[in-house]
Amino acid sequence: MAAIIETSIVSFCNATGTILAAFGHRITPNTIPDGQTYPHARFRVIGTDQRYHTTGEGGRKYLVQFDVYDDDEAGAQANAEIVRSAFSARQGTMGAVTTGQVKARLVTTNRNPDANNFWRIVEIEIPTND
Amino acid sequence: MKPNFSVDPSQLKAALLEVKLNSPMLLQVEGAGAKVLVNGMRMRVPVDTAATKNSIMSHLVEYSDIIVVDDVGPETEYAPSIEYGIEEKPNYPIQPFIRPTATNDFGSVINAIGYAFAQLVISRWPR
Repeated sequence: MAAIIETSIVSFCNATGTILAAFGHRITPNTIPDGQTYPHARFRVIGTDQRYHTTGEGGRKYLVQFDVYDDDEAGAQANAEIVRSAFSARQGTMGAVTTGQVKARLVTTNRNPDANNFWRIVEIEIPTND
Repeated sequence: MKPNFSVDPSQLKAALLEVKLNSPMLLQVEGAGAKVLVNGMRMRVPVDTAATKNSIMSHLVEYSDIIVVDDVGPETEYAPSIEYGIEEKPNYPIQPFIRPTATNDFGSVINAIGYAFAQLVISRWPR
């Protein structure tokens, strides 16, 4: 099921104007391709929770870590905020799944002086009907 | 036709006041939830030397008759790298264990706290 949510997140990002303007198509699941230019982002599904109700399965909740990288701190911060605001409170169709209210929050920031990049994390909880 | 219910909670409120909760009792109630989180994290954490696994425990920050604040989690310096990743190696695999526990075991934590609280109230219920 993680594959469906991954393709759905990519579809959503490519269909959202603010994210597309900020990242182009440089948002990938799981790994960052070699030589990817800044800014770029990578997301990983880090947990799923199956929900149940009285008649059976009642949807899932996916926990997603979105890693945003840029070559300056302001850019990383701004792009992470773009991702957060695009996902936060999102409800309805997202790629191949239907979602409930999505929660999104900024978590932390780091700088890698060797690679001269800045890293910002957005945590996203996506409840779905699958 | 909609049914109408009328509930008078005054006697329940009066009885709960008679229970007179204090900080050791609140710690007992909170501890039940903390144990669920500790067990969930220890079950999910990747193990090499087991230093991080053994360091996962409850860390009381504040407790009084009305509030308990408890940081439940690991103590090793590299635990955040296991959870979030390593900045020098963006493609290095992460093995999160804190956030999945918080997300997946939330219902069990609430159940444990609720059960502990119910047992406490029942044991001190005015007879």
